[in-house]
Amino acid sequence: MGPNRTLGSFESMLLLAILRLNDQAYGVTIRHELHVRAKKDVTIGAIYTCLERLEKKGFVESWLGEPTSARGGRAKRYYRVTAKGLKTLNVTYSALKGLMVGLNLAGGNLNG
Amino acid sequence: MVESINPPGWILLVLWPFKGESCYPQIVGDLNEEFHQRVTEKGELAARRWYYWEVFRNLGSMVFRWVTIPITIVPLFCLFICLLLRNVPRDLSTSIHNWLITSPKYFWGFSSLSWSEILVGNLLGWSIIGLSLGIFSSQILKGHERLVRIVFGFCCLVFIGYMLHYLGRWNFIYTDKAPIEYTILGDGAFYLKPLWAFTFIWIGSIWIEQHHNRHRTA
Repeated sequence: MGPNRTLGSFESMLLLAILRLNDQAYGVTIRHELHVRAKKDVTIGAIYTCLERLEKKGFVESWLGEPTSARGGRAKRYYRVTAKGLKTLNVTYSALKGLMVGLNLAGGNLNG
Repeated sequence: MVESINPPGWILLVLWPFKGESCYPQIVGDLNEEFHQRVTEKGELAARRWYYWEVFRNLGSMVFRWVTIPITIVPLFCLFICLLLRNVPRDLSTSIHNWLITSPKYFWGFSSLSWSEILVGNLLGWSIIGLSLGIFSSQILKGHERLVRIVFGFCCLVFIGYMLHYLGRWNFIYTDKAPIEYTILGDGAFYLKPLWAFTFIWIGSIWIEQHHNRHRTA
């Protein structure tokens, strides 16, 4: 994996949602954040599949919380963005920003 | 109060094949938590409806997790398709048409057997054979599960390619005077059984690979 690797759109959205939630990022809150802010209705399964991939790449880290009765005695798994994840997110954002220079996307006018 | 209302747990049987997945407890826990939130906001009936729907949506996501096709299989598959198109006779489409319009039970080439006999004696039998082969070979070649799948996939393709090319079984249909259904369907069963078994070799191998991965990360 090269140093300038960029993230996919869903990966970027997940990392941004986790960053927004600070230390309260787990399945339900991430799903809610994606639904409210990005208007994306994704399944919990899809979120965990992507999070596991990101964790394998070292972009996020996770830890288990306390089990609660509302969750049927199951523990929450909290997520946090690592320094490597943050760096890759910045690379992705810079790449997008670089491509957007001179473009006025509002109103469909692409000529600035 | 709200927590005393339990979500319909039986529907989780749908996700049973994925019980061994590392994220399974989190998924069920999240579904339960959101169910209780929805009971408070929208009532029990709406929450239950949501729960059923979400479990099925998650089934789709979980199945997608399992679909890991090694990139090396793609050229092999293309080669097989080329071989197939190169060697089958022109009127194969008619043969396939005749094949498909007959009763589905003929598909397996056991016209005298009932559905239950076909299911237990053949589908289940070949599934067990395939699954066992996939599991044992992947256990023996621990860490090389992908190689196992490629080798079995290649063998399967070579076998079918060999049958089509060298034995000319499709041509046999027209040179022999046997009833058309019998000959074509007999061949169909001949090809489909190894393919059916191979599907289960694949499933067994992926299952073992995921099992190994879980233990590695734990």
